[in-house]
Amino acid sequence: MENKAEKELRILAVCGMGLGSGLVLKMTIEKVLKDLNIKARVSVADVVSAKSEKADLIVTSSEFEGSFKGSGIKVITVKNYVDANEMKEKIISALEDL
Amino acid sequence: MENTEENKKEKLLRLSDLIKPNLILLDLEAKDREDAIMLGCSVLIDDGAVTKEYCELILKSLVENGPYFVIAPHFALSHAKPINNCVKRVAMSFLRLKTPVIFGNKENDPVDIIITLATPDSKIHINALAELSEMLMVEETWKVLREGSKEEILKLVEHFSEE
Repeated sequence: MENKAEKELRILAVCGMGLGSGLVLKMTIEKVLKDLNIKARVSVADVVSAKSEKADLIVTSSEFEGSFKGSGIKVITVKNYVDANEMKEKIISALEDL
Repeated sequence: MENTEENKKEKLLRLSDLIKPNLILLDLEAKDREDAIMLGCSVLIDDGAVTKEYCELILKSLVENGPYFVIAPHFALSHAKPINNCVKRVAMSFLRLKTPVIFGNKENDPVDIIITLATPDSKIHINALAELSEMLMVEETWKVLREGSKEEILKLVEHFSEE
């Protein structure tokens, strides 16, 4: 975990259009990161443009998981976009793997 | 200060600017998910915020992208990316169904609360949607949304809308 502070973590919240759900996802991610005291840049992308974006971690719903197969980027899927507990658990476990 | 149009645009819209009393529909019946989406969207047509084409775009997205906008248990954030100027202004409606309907999202089905969002561009709605997210993250919110009266829902919305 030592290097994490030096290099900013990039998280991509991905939804169908990049207009609505992705933004809700971003809000929950940011709340959890704040609670965990983790600095990261969280951006929103639609599922098509997300493929050409650079990121350390992608957060999305199970519908879009398949789109990132083979990308080499860690993907987590959430069931409830506004459940900070679910998000916190999944982000913590994803960061351990990074 | 001379460009008042610009100043107006920069004013942040609050959640309570979007969810107005006439856009809250409680305890209606819907046959299926298409019917539910049309119910939530039609009130935005009546309000002059969108044309029928926007509602059809949501239905099309549902078929093409799947029911991904069912983003929490029993809750859908119904929306689409507008084309041909079919969204006249940013708006949000709230629909509560008497009987939940299946959207095909096995993790969060069946759905009884549908918020329909219409936004003409990718920025203007951000503040209000952020306030909505804050509201939905609070567990007590769901009790009010499911059991509350229109007045109680409006009060909740007002609470999460910044002064």
